[in-house]
Amino acid sequence: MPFQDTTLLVTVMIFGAVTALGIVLMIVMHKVGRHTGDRRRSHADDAVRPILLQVVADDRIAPAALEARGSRGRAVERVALAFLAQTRGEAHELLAQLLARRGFTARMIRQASRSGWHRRGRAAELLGVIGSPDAQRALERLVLNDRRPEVRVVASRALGLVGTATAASTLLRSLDQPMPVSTGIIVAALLEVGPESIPALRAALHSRSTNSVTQRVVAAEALGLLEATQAWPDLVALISDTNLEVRVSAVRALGRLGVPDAADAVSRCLQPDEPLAVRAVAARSLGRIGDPRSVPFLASSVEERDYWVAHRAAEALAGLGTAGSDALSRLAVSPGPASMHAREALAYATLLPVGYLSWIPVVTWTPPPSPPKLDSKHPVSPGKPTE
Amino acid sequence: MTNALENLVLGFAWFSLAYFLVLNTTYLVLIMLAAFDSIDAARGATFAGHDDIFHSPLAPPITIIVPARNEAMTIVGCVGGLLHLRYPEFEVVVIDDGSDDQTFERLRDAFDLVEIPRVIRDDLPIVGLVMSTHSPRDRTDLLVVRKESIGRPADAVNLGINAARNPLVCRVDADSYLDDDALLAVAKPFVEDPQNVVAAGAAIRVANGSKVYEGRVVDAHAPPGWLARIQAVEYLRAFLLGRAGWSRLHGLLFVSGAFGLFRRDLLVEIGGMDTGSEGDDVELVLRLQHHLRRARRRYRVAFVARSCCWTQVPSTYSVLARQRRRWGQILAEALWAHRTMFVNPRYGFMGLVVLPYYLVFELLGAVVELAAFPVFILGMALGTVEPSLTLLFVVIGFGYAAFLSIMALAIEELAYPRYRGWRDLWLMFLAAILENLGYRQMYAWWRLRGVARAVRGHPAKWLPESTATAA
Repeated sequence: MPFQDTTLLVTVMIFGAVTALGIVLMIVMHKVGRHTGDRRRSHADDAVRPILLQVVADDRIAPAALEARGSRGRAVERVALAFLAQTRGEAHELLAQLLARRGFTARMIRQASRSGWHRRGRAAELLGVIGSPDAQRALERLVLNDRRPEVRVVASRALGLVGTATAASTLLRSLDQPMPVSTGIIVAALLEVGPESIPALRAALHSRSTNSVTQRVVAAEALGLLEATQAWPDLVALISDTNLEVRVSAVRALGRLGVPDAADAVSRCLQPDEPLAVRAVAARSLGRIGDPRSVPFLASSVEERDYWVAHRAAEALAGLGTAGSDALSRLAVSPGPASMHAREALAYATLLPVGYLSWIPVVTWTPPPSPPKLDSKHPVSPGKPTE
Repeated sequence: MTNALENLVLGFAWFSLAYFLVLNTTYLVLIMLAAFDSIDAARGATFAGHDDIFHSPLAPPITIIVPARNEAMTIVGCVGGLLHLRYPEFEVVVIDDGSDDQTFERLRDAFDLVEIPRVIRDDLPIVGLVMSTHSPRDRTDLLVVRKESIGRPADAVNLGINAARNPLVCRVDADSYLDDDALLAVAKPFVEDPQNVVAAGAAIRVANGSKVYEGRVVDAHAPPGWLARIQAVEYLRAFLLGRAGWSRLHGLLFVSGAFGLFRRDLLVEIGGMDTGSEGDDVELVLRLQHHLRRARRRYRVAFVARSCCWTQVPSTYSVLARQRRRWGQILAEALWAHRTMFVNPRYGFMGLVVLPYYLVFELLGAVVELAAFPVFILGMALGTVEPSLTLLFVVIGFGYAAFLSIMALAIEELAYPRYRGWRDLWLMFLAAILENLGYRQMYAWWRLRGVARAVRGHPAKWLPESTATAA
């Protein structure tokens, strides 16, 4: 069956060659366009920067900034957004006002309900920088209702930048949605909100909503990272929660708060009948709280066969002054696995070469059994289990 | 008899045509999908939020594992570069796998290492004995573990997994360089979808000829020499856009050995890397997916084209031949080890489409690639194959492939431009055309030899030069 259709062949060849040439030309044009576009934008930005600096310095919106149109107008908006991200207080409000009066904010709010997800994402990012009440309402709609997870992620971050108590409540409420964004992103956004979010977070610790476990976890983590010391009694109460993840978060948060009054409650989490995850986190938290009364509890935890409980306990002891170091030195010469953890913690604490510890007799260490396998039906997030 | 030979030749000629048409069209589809992905990534770049991950106290901590054997020339630059990556919390674990050169001494002098009795877990079995563990005096998050070599990198990587103290682990080759925010980009899928993402791969690019300063590629250039240039185009087409395309179809089978991020708990669950076989990341990722699909667990292997790892590729034919034979062997062993997944509806798209594709086009296709050209010449000599059919074969087999490489270059230039100079661009275009004239056929030959070694059960070993990267 010979191939006779040479016309078709030639057509295919010509079509291929022309398309390839077209692609090459497109690349060349794009490369040239990118360079010239960058240069043009850079010139335009340089030209309007003094006007915007004057706006910030004089606390007054200059007509030149308000009336600029075309490429100059776009440059004003670009530079104003760049300044907005770096300013607070009156200067920030003035620049936001400038963008609102130019119609930029309204344009972004409209764009936040457009069909293309990247447009909504871009609008969300910029509305977060502007941070006006109108912008906040648009962002709240995106956080709670947008169908694209990418947009909800950007909107959550942007809502954090707005930094109001209402924003914090919306972020926590978004966890009740059917497909919430990951808890790490919500916690990061709540940290951006800052101390304004503390009342909402304390209320969420007692949440019994649809996704209340996630809300309690997020609230505990955020309170710890915000160092909201006033919340320590709420967190101590959370230690006896029925959910393991909530308990771990509460104990970790108490360590970050470093309130000595919480040391007793955290020490109780080192009891052998407590889950290993809770014990490992409790050991680290006790190290952070730094109460020397924890030394006996931590010393007995170093002898635990679980790697993380023993390791964190030894690490915590190394940070508890002379009492901790003495306990570690005693453990370092004891038989069993505790000596290995104690020697490591001592070595890291002083960062002396291992030879300096040669007076310690070498002990045989039997490694602990492997950790239990994960439940195959319920994938578990990697999270920060080692803390 | 002659008639039968003529029919055979003509039949094979048409089969070769069909084969190249399907192969190149599949690649066209993958590249188009990758183009959509690139457009999405480029449009979303302004609000990707990598800096937010950098400032987040909840970003999942990462352990970077660097297995090194006789890497004295590159190890200090590599580790120095890794320690300065932008990421909130990470440690670097270097496994000195019985190096005979100055690998450890250079590390010790550069980072002021002291011996520390670090407790290493025994989650995965290790064959080579651990000799000592070292950390810098200034408490930099670096651990150097010296061990006896068993001649296989898998043992070193498993030891690195045991030593890792963070929930995510990332293996980086000692001859590779990461972009400043490579970890931020590759960790993003884990931050945004921590329940499902189990592994994430990144784009691998060719570092030959580029300016490297303190472990970073600061000025990218097309590699010197056509062999390396052709590999640079091949990496763009196959390991950047090909994988981005598969990822869009949720069919990404492999994550590069040069730079991939994994959940540590799952690596331990599946027993780490297989030290009994050639192993390598190809087999590891396939085993991970096999395990998760068999258990009917939801998971996702992500590919982040924006995150970039630069690696040195072989610049001589002999080293390249060894590397490609090794790749062929690894792929053959991995596919054989997981043959139960083939055409098995239980494994969904992976079992029904992706694995058969790799078997037919990546492995057995080497036979067609090698035989096609001589068969067409023979056919023309016998008079059974028309010159026009041969021309069609050249157009479909080579012209179409060159067109795909040019498309890949275009997408790369539009979405992830790295080469600033015009000269680099022209050289890469020329390499895209030259790739089809000899290089592809040589690669097919090396691949076949790799398959033959796998069939014979020949053990593969660490490559002494910086060429062991399984991309």
